[in-house]
Amino acid sequence: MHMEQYKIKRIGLGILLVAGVFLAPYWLVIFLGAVIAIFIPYYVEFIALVVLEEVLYHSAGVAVTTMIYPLSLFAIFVILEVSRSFVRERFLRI
Amino acid sequence: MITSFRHDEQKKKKRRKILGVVLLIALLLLSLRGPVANTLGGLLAIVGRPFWFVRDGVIEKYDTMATALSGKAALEAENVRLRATLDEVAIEAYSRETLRKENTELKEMLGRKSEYEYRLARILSAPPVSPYDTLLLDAGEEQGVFVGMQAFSQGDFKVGEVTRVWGRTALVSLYSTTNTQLAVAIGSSSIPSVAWGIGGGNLRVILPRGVAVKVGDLVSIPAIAPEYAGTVDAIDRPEGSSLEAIYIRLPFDIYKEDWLYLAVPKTITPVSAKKDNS
Repeated sequence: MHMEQYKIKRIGLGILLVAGVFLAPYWLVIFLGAVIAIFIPYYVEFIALVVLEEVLYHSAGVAVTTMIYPLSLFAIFVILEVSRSFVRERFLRI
Repeated sequence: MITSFRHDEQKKKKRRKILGVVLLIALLLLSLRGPVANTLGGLLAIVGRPFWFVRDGVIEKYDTMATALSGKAALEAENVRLRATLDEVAIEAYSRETLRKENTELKEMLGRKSEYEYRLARILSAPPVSPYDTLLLDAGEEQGVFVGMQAFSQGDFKVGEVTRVWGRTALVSLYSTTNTQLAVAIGSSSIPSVAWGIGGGNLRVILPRGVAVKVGDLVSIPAIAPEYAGTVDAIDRPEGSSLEAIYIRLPFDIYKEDWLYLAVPKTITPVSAKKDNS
């Protein structure tokens, strides 16, 4: 039952973030995604979110310069993931 | 206990592997920017349509409600102010139209005529929803939109070009996109120069110090028909430098516009040639 609720919440948050890609400012969507990634381990939806924003809004002519944005976000995600695991394993002993 | 710990470790390793693979696929997809990314973009544009239409419906409903709720006195005052503005604008528009007509006639007499075919498109999404200086439009291939079409806003301001097209959606990249170049003529003596996009709806031109340019000057684009890139917003003259930076922006907020006009890339046809053909 607990697992089911967790899955439903995760799917709900995913749909909310996808709706945000179409309607909300990008920085708000990314910020929310990053906050969720702190609390949910291995939150691959964050990567999917960046990919969705890129494939929908990037300009075809400036591929090289626009790679800076997704790469920075991927780096932030990896740092978040590593720090979260580090804190859980070393300090919280989970 | 030890078995459970080992099981957890294995689970973690597996999850990390999956995460690594997802990251790698994402990187490949974005760095190649090939047909897969483009198709995915098209699919997303289809998925996004209901969201955009619901949003527009909600905004319309909210506007109607806000008008109904605002007081009668406030509405009357607003009406008076708008009428006064309309009178001023109508006079300016009349003289502008007369000058424009005269200009076109003179160019036609000299054998130059520019031809445009316009498509009206509604802006579905603009910054800050988009992380780049791009606008998503509700017209695509089905409406005759193609890559390279120039996008105009009100008042002959050329704002960008169509860079991606899907079935019923297209993406316009604004000239203010970082590192985009646009040929412009600046100042009272129409000095030809190149404006560089610096993001956020702004362009920058570097010119020798002392050029006759002032804030508020209209920056035109060399063309047969009147086309403008924006107005001079600020001039930076650093102490001791022989150059000055001129910052250009549109006199209205392009991110809050609802509509754009898409023009087929201009074809200049001599009037005499056209007469011969007919």
